[in-house]
Amino acid sequence: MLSLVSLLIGCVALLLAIPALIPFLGWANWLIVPLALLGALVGALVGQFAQGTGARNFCFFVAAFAMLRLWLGGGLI
Amino acid sequence: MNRPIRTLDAESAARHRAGLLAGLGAYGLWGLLPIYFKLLPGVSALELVAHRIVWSVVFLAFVVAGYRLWPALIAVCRQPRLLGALTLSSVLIAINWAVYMWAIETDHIVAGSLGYFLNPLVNVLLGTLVLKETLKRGQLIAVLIAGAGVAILAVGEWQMLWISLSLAVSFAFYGLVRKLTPVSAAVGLSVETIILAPVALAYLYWLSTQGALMFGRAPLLSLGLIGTGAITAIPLMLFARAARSLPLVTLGLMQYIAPSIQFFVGILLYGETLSSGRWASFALIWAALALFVWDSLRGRPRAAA
Repeated sequence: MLSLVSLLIGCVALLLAIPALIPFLGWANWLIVPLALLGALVGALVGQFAQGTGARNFCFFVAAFAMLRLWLGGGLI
Repeated sequence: MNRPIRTLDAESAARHRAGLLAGLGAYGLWGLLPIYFKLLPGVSALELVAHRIVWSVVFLAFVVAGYRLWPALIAVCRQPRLLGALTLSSVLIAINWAVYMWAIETDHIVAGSLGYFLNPLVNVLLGTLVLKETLKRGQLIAVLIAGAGVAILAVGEWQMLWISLSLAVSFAFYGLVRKLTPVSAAVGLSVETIILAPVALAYLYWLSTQGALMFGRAPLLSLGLIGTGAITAIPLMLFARAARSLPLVTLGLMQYIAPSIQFFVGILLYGETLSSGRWASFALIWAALALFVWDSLRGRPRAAA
């Protein structure tokens, strides 16, 4: 159940991360990174109770993608 | 070390509950898809399909990375036979999506739902004709009743007939090809959308040169078009989860949730009307499905107590 929530949070974060690739929208990643990390945290909770860390990893990849974009834009652009 | 039986029971019950939720989520989202596409006004069916393909590639890339499916994906790409089968299934799913989007765009959601109600019966017919599976008597009667329902549409309801039949047949052939291709749902759809992506991108580029591309015209509309990737990937992942933890019979029964929701969405939300001929056709196909489901449940071996 929690893995599904994690997957959904990750999808929302990715949905927002794609338009944030547009120049001058890089600042949006300051919100997207925590959102993706929240998804990863929820996904990590799953790992405590059951097998399967796919949703957590999915969120980590989204967070890493958003962090990379944030870094490329100097945190603003 | 042996774990107490009660813990195992609780675990399996929780697993079953999560599977049910995932199944409800998958079929519920598929059922609500028409509302999503209706919220993207002015975008042609073909542009929607192209976006769905391109953005699915992006979303599925993250899914494949997160779920560590790269080795499986690469293994598929190295086998020409599997790649050939997935090329065929990608064409079938593209046809299915295009007809479905067109049906939504032109206010034929109910016709689309009929197509998915018909689908299990077309599957049975296809299994008999192609895979030489034996048709049980109950199934034969169900197929004949559904055939009568389709025949009613042939009299004066050509548009509904071709939408429903092309959806049912394209999805049944898609299911058949995928059944014969030993590839998981997420990897399969990833390969299919990667195969279709160049065509989709070329079409979007052509639209932009004609000044007809809707993407980029309004922020919310563009976000909605990007979201077509998410609304393709999410139900698929939920379905894969449900398929892992639910018995096939439960999953088989749950598949009627999506067309049922679509039916009510079409009638109640978008004011689509049904002529008496269409009602008669629906009644026959629902009767056929009821018989089909009853026959499947009856023939199933009882679960051990």
